[in-house]
Amino acid sequence: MIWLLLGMFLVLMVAPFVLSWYYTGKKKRTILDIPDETSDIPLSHVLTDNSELEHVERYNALSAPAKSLYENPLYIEGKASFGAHSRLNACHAKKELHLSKKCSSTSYLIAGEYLSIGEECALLGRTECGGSMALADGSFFYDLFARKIQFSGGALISDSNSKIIADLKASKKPDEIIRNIKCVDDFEIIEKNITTRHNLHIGKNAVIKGNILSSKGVVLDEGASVGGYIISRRTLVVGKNCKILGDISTERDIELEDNTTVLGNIISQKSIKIGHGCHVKGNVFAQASIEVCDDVTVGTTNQIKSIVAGDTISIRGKSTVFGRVRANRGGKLKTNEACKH
Amino acid sequence: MAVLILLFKIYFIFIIVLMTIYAIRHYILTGNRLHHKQKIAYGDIYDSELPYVSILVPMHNEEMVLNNVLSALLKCDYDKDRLEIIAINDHSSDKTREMLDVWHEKHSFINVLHRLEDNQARGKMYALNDALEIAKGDIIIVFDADYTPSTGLVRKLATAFIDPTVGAVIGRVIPKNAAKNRLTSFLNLERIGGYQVDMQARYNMGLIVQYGGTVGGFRKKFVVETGGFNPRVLAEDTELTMRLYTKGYRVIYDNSAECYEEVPETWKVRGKQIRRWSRGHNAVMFRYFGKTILSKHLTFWQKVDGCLLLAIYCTPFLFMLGMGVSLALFFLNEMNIMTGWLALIFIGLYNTYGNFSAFYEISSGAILDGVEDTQIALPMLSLLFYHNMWHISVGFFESVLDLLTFRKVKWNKTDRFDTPSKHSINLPIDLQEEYIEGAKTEKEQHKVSGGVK
Repeated sequence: MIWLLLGMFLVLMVAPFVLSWYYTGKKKRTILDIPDETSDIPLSHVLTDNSELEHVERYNALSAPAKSLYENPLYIEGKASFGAHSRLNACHAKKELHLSKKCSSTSYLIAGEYLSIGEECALLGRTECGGSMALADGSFFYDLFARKIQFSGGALISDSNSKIIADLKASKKPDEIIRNIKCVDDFEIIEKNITTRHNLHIGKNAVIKGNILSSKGVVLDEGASVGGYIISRRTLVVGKNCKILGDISTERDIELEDNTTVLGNIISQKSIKIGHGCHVKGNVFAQASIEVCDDVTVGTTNQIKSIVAGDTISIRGKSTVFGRVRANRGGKLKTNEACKH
Repeated sequence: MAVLILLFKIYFIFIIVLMTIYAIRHYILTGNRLHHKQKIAYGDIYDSELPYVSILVPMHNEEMVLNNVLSALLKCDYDKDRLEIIAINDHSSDKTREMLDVWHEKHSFINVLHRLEDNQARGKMYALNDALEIAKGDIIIVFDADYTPSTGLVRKLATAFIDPTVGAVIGRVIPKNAAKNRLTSFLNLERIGGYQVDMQARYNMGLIVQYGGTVGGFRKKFVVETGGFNPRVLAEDTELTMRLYTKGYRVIYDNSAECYEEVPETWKVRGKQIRRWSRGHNAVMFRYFGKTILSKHLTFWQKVDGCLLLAIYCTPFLFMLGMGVSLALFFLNEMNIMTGWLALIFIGLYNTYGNFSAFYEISSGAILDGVEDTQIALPMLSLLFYHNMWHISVGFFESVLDLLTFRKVKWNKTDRFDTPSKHSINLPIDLQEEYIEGAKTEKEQHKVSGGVK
């Protein structure tokens, strides 16, 4: 018995040191350890100026052949293009920058006016452009920032100023609250805010002029409209052709079905899926992953907005983002994979 | 006597359970920070439509440090058309008033609120309440005068409010005088453990993230509609935290929103500071313990964490009392509650793990921060622990007296140590020279006397 206790004691005394030694040696890179190089870019100066850095190779213009290798950062006064399979450390082109297919960069890529990324390129650092940025299929990235980012040619920008939205914008925000309802019928119009402890089901083409606050989940059927924000503690499903004027915030997943318009921000503590043809005028933020289907637009031509994911971002087709796309565990443009519904 | 001994025994067991819970809490939080998925804050979002922000900087005799904070705020990358800075001069008797007026003349978005009338109540809560009346911003961000915010800090903090469920946001505080002496290095370790591990883990786990009163922001509408800051509570930050959570809002922690502060450089000043924190925090505990347990908006684990957080500044007193009780039981030969194999194993486990839980948390924070060298001061941190324990206990008694006597509480400002800098070129040269020389002389005198001014 004594030996057993002595053994237990020894194990308990030694275990912390062994664990400490093991984990110190195998220190994981947690998300917050990743250096946030782009965090201080002022909006008025979209481009970061690295021209004064040491070890920078300077050119007036550069047209690099396939399989070129540049170990030092490059600074190019004019236009730069790199052939297929080129490997770069970093590049700052004052005008245009073109990367052919399967190129890679380990640090920053900056272009003053236009930046095009060929198929299956890997952008491991931040990628910025003062004008438009175009990415082809298979591109892998962490952090993109441009006035306009077009994935696979970009989405057809839909007009979100429909009559319903104009009417909802014009209507006065209600003060009254309806409490603890479970459903709103098809085509019903409610000129109040809704606060409920139940799962809320909003019928087809129903119109809620106020805010929705639910301690559980919310499901909006096709064509429903909401004049305020939606906050729910559980999963939120927004049906096809819905219109939401305010922000959406949930503690679980959010799914936007096809052709939905959201004028506010979309925030989820889990994942977000944005369906085909959706238009989000605000920011999209998820602690886990974000999946963006075909023909999606985020932001507008005169407003910079962001898509930020704690995990990954998957872009499944033509889409346009005005502003920033950042995925802490990497994002990928895959047009050959259909969106899962 | 038998009843007293029984009560002692019950109390002794209660203390053991309480300390074990806190030790387990340290391990859970550290384990989460080291080995689980980390939540990101909203600071990575770039949005050209950020809200109008009012930055409040309460000041009382801050001539030594006010240029640092205002110069740093001038450099922030937030759109100046959507920003106003309100420097609140709360009955300063030094050159704070003149210096602030110069700042206002040079920069139109720096407004000054002078609180100089003798019949006006003094203190941070009164100053903040007055400033809230004139602030134009939907979002209020507060900095203490000894803080030096980084360029992107205001934008990062303000971005969090794109989420309608967010009521307040808090950034990370880093001591800028950590290498000054032993005390500042201890306080640096304390901050590392508190922010890098404790706060981030609580944010990850959806527990109660504490708004810190500075390097943070809140929704003006919420605070105004719920009656402003309570002048009877010295810890307005903790009070706001609990008010937000019990009303269904969340507090966000942004580990990358860094701000540099000056920590106390003498034990006396540190004692005064932590006594004030303890007094204020315990006052919040008396008001919110029941509300936290009964709140409809909090989950079970949020309630548990909220109660542990509220009780954190009365635990040192309870622990001290527990040590006294254990000594009494020992000398009365009544320690038979701690006998047998199970007790032996428990004592072994607690000595191996429990006592080191806080050190483990701090050490993990230092490793995550990449400042492993600072851990060399860890064994001596027990000095700070005993010093804190005494002053927190005094603060606890003061808060009990406040509760029983309904007396008015007085805000005791933490003394500053920063050397005034000339990097505020916006001041007239004569005023700069005068105040710098004056402050230096004062500081020399302070050093010679070895005390606090």
